[in-house]
Amino acid sequence: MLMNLGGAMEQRLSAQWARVRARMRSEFGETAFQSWLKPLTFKGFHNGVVHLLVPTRFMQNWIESQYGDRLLELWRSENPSVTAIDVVHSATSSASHSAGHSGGHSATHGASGFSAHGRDGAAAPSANTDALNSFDAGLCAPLDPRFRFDNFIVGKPNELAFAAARRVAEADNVPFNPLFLFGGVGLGKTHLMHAIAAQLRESAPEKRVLYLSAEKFMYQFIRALRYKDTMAFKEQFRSVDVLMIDDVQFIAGKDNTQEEFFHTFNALVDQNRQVVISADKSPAELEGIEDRMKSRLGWGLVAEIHSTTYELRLGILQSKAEQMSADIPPKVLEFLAHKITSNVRELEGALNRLVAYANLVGRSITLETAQEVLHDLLRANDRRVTIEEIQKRVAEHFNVKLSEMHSARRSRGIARPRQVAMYLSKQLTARSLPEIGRKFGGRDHTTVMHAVRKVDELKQSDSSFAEDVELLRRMLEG
Amino acid sequence: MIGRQFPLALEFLPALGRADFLIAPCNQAAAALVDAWPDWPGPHALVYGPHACGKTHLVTAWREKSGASLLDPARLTVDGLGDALDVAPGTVGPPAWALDGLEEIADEPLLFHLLNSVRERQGSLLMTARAAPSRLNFTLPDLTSRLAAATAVVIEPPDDDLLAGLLIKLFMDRHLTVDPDVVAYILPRIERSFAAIHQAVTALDRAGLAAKRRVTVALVRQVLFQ
Repeated sequence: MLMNLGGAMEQRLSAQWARVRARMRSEFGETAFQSWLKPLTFKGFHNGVVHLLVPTRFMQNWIESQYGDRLLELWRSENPSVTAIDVVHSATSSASHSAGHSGGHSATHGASGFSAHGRDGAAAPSANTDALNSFDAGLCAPLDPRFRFDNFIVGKPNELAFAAARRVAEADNVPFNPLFLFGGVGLGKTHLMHAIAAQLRESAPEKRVLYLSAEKFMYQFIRALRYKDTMAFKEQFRSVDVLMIDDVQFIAGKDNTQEEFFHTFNALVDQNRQVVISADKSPAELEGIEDRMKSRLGWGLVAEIHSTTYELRLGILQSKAEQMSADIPPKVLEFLAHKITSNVRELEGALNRLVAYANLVGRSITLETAQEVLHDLLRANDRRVTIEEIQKRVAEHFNVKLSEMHSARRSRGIARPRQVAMYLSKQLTARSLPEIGRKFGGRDHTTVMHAVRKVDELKQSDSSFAEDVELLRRMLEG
Repeated sequence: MIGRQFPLALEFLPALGRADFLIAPCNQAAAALVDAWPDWPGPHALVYGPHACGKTHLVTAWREKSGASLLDPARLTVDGLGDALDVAPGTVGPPAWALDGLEEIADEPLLFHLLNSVRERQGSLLMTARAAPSRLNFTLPDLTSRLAAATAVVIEPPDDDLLAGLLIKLFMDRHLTVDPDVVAYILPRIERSFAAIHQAVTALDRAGLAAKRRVTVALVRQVLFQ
């Protein structure tokens, strides 16, 4: 019985609240309602006090000062036992971060949004480094667990490099030393380097595998020089079983570092320890590297990773989409493979961005979403459209003279296109309404507002008109 | 209505908490990105959008949540990078850094090393910029491809509701109490950009102070629209 009573009470209160809201809406108008009153939520009624919740502090101030008195009056007319209104903002009501953003304004998916492809590796690298002694842990770059052989997509452009990398990771007797991998940025050199190191650590944990960037090698060496500790430095590097240096072009022109690297390199190769080097160019083409160094770098196997083909790009996208368990239409993958040709990193980056966006705002992935989210990658430039261009395009589209955009004629065949152009000027430029009005033959800002309202209404009622406007908008956005 | 409020000259603290950030369709993805941390798809994230669109606000809100330290683009150097990224002992959770204003970095290798170092340290870096990564005029290929691979979200130009909300918020930040008719007067007449709203509020605050007057429609007409 009590439950029922409570339920009935609650129902009555929420009906009262609905009526209060409706009256506020008609009294203060749609804009004020949408901006200020709609976000109010009813939290409860205790001891004569109505508790309302708003998302932010300043909204709380604003509502109290602007609408507080009227809110109380309206509540009292519904329910005479109301004596006060209490407006609180959700930041105070949730008090701490752990309580989460309980306010209705948080249009997010929260933490679960990314779980499908989250950084599951956060803990893995430290587990790997535990296996190493303390010196390696500080020196060796952490391995990215996403870079493995089994998720490296092989195609014509990278099959030699892939096969060579596998060989280094699997075989005891590698017939070539060093392995020199080279290719443009973002084509998978680092992926292969990490994959080699990860597999060696798994299959041959007794081996000391040291993977680091050329820049870090340089940094360590400079530090050793500074602390007069070069002996220890040499010792560290020359006692490893496999040395892997990424992006060796970064030591170009750094003579001291290069010299030291050269000695380390020779010492290791002479002792039959495996060396793997990556660079953005072939040994012969590396600039700022001494000739004797270039020739030694090219002694082993030099494997180039070529630019991607459409087939390889599509394969990469398909595999990546599967990994992320993201629902992406094949048409979208084909579109990306076709449009983003620079390199794999940017290709995967584009896919990541698209999926992240869809997750964040809760939209499905379509060709339109892709075009919208990746507009900067797909378009050569982001020029701002001008009111003049809008007038010209709209006049052409509706087959009226450009001069009619500024004329005083009000026949519908002329006025409608003019209204569409005003509408698009508001949508696509930041110009103020008075300025838009001026560009349309010195009209008032209220005329522009009327045009915007009219076009909005027509778009609702006439779908072919809505398509026309949408088409124009797309053409203008380029 | 209770007595008038007069703002203190120059001294005001904008409300930059996450709850003070006004959500609208144009910035929804950016706010959601901040909320989603630490579950980001990768270590590097970038929010880009026009001047005064709320990037610094989001960075502030995110730093509150993540404990990220703010990197000063003017003081970063390649040699000092290791020190700049040092995390205070006793810090819990994944390391995080924020860099507000990518375009202030002229040293491209520095930025490249920064991105690599953040990845190596398994941390997160939130960056902001005025334009999309592909529009930032960086030329080092290793850098541009890494930036292009960052999780980048845009803040689009504001829609009408956000402009209204922002106008009120900025008045509130300066402890200026204005009547709804002032807002209703400004909105249809002003350039519809973040920057224009900021400029308008600054100008009105200053004019109101100088004349020791409340911000009214008459003052708005005089200061903003002659």
